[in-house]
Amino acid sequence: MTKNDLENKVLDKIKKGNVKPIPKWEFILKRVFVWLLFILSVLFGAFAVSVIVFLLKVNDWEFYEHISGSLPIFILKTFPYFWLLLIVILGFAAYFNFRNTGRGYKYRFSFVMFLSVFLSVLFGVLLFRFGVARSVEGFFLNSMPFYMHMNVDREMMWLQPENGLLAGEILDRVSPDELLLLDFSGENWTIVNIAGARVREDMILEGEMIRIFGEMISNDVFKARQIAPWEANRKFLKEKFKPLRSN
Amino acid sequence: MISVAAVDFKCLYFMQNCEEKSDKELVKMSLANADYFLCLMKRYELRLMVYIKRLLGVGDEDAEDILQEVFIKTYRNLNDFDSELKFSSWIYRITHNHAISSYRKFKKRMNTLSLEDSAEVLNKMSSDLDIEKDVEHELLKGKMTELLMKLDNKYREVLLLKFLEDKDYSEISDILKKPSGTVATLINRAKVKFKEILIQNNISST
Repeated sequence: MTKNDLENKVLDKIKKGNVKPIPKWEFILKRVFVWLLFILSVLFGAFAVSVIVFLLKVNDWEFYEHISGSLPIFILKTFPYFWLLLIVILGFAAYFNFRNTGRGYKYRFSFVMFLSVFLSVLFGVLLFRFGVARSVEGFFLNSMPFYMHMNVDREMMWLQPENGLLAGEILDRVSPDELLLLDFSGENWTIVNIAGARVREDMILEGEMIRIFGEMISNDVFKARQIAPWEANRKFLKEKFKPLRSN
Repeated sequence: MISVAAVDFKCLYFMQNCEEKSDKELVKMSLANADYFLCLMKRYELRLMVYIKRLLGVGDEDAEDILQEVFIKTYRNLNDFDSELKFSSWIYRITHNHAISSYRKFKKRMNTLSLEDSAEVLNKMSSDLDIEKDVEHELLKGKMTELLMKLDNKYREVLLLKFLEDKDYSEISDILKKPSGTVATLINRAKVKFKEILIQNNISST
């Protein structure tokens, strides 16, 4: 085939095959879609960051000594690894999406990962400030059985009155030194020594969820040494343990 | 006869009207009138044919088939051409990607170099490789294909673009869609690997 033959053959195929350039709007749409995917990756990463901040805030820091003995071990045991893994996965997703933008390939992997994680952290902290994290984590608790099962451990940990750990809903403030509590398994407890325990008065109100470190006196009496609010997703906890109460 | 002459005349007409036009202008003109695409094809046909043959080690016939497909693909995607980019980088990218997918289809081994190409690569790389003066270049030229085949594809393709296609780092970055820093690293590693291969094959001792 001579050079002219090849060129003419191609032009012939273009004309006879009615080959047309793909319309510009299709490419624009594709580019917009890719950018959208990148933005969504960063945004979902931000949601994950906000939940990590939330979970770290409501963690059992006041009781780490009683739970794990040492702070490093406590951190290792309670760190929200699920959300950290999600951030890593979304970071990679953001990288691949960014790379497919018009000039995204010009940037190194380390730069793009740093950029996407930085943006996720920045927006994540903002989302946490606006109270979005609790809703996101609550959504996962309510809608994703695997996530709920992962978080049962924490509630179970606070169902160890024999080990000095008890949590639940305040049913009634009987006296300044005594209250009635419904634990996560649906059992009633009388909590004594409220006045002697380290506690903020505004958290000892009917309907509030609390965590108590102390000493089991009998099968239904618990002496409090330290009380802290239960700041995790209370609404979903109550609903989750409804079947237990009816037993 | 008349139709062939008419086609040749049309080619001649469009060639004369587009010789001084830049690639970017020709892209715009081709989008308005497909006949101007002839100019772009004429401008890049030879270079791309040689590139395809160097990349895949195929003969003229297979290279022409691939090049036809490349030109059709280029025409269909003209609206995707980013004018911030060099057109040559963009069409090389299309050629590279299409050639690679054709390579997988044909399952051909890449890069059978001619002796001339081997000499060119050797000359351009020799100062970087610091080969001893008494190394027999003729021997090395003859073994170049065999030695280059020992390199991974990612090293071979950057050496090809750098030393045979004379592309700079920015162009290679645009063709392969890799960061410039990565391209520089790949080229340096390619040279190191190639030097190791020379040592392993007793062609160089340093």
